[in-house]
Amino acid sequence: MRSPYTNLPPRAFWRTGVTSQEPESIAELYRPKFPITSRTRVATAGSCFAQHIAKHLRARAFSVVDAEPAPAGLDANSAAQFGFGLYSARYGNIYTARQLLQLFREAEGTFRPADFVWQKDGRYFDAMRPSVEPGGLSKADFVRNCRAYHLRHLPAIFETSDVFVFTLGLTETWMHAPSGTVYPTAPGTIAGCYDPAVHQFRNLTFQEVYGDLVEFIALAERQNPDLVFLLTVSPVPLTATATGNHVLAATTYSKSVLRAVAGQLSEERENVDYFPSYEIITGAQSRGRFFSDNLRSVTPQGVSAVMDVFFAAHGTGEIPLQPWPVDDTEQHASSPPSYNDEDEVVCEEILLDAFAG
Amino acid sequence: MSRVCVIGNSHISALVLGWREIARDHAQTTLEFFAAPGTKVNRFKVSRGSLVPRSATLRKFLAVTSQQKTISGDYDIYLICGLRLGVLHMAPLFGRFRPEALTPDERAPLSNECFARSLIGCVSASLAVETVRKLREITSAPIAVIPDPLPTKNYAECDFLNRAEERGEAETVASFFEAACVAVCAGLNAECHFQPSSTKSAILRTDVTYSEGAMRLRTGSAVEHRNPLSIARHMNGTYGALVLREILGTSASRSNSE
Repeated sequence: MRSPYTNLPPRAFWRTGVTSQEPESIAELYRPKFPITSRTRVATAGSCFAQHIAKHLRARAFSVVDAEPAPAGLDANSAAQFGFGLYSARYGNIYTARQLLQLFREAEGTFRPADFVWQKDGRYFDAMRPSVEPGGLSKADFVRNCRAYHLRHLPAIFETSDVFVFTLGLTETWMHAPSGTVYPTAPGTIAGCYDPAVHQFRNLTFQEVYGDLVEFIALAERQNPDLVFLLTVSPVPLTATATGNHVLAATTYSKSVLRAVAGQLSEERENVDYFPSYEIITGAQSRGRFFSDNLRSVTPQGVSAVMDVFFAAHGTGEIPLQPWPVDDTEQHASSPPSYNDEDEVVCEEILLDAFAG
Repeated sequence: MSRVCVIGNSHISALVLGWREIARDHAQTTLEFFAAPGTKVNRFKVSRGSLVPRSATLRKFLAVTSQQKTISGDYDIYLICGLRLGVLHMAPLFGRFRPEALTPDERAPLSNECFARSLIGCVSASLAVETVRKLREITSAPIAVIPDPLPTKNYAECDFLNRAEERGEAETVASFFEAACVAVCAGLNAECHFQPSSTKSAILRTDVTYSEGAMRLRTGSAVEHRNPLSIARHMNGTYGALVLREILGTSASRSNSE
């Protein structure tokens, strides 16, 4: 008797594809559409989990684009604290597809964020990337100045990259309702002041996330038609939800939407691929072992499992870890965070925990 | 009797010549000079309570300048002279980045805190501070760090310095640099001695009279600088005497009070 499941490969069946596999190295879970080698110029952006990707790529001497390298002399921990070396520019965590699109539209000159200078205790913060100057700045004008400098350097990312890796983190976001500007953090958490008349909670739908990514890809392709995109979904659960639902259900909804959008785009487009970091960490095969005690943070072992799958699939698993080059030249080479503290990522979303009571 | 060990690069010549001028006023003090070009001084290693040269060239410089084979840890005071600690050596940072306090331009803007931390990193990475770290492994004696002298007005090759002066921001640059030096030295229980204000013609400039007849090292012996840019960055014996007087005066008064 013939069945459409006859002759399918082992990866198609749960028993052979998952149950009997080692959780750290599930065969054929990731079959790349395009190669990524140490010569491929990789740009990264996304939610805090994405920091691990850049960190591990650099540690293995991959070419990670850095449009805003750290100043000479800044040690690795301080560099990370000030948003250097975490991604391909100093944009901090980009949690939503809307935030990503907005940022690059702003760099392109087709979008202007509203109310992006926030205050706290007499200091001024860039609301669009509040974590990159954790202590804030002394003047609102200087925030604008820093932002203008940052935006000027973003187009170089597309121009100098072969692959753009984006880790989708959240669907929930806070919006400046009159302008539609979305922020990476809720007003009043790091800085700023929540005004219910102005700030509106939004839980982005599949259509919205999909539309934002399609528009972002089009924008990037205009600048570099050869650019390809690798999407991942952060396995890190929400710290808090503003939907009114239970945070566990809200997490499932959010991640489901993001995973579905990533899958849809990967199905539709030859230049978009999906890397299953979400499945490696959260799948039943991991039995939760890749989460630390708070059931939220991904352990270094989990991150390694993700990156091992990535490197193995790209045939670069044997490349040894590289020490960071010492930045003692006149070149302002970046000094990204050490891979020894791989569990330390800069994540402002965790601040919401402080409101848990 | 107080034995002072002076370790430095080309800038040590000013101290050598200055010491000749003032040695008679410090009869209870002896100075021993250990000099080599900056690129060679990083070839010291710590071994059995001494700094030991790891290269034949450094050994040669040591032998010529001090008649010693190593730098021992039993001096009463150590002076670290130059060794790539100077405001001009901060160009990789000041040339590309600017703190809040400086006027907007094409350089990358940073918070004062981020800039200060970067500067501390640059100062920490200097050969002078590296040498202090090695010395701290062999001695707990007082260590005074003497940064490179500021250039004279004849040195116009440093863009960020020129710009700071044109915009009236020299004081800001100087205070960032000095604060970083003080912080790094304090962390190593050393003291940073900036050049006497009487030797300056401006906040970031040494008066040109102090570079007249400046000497440079040539395998240990001092010969006059020929390159005008080099002259504008190196000082003469009068300068060296003023620097030494101030440091030895400070050390003497501290010894007396102790």
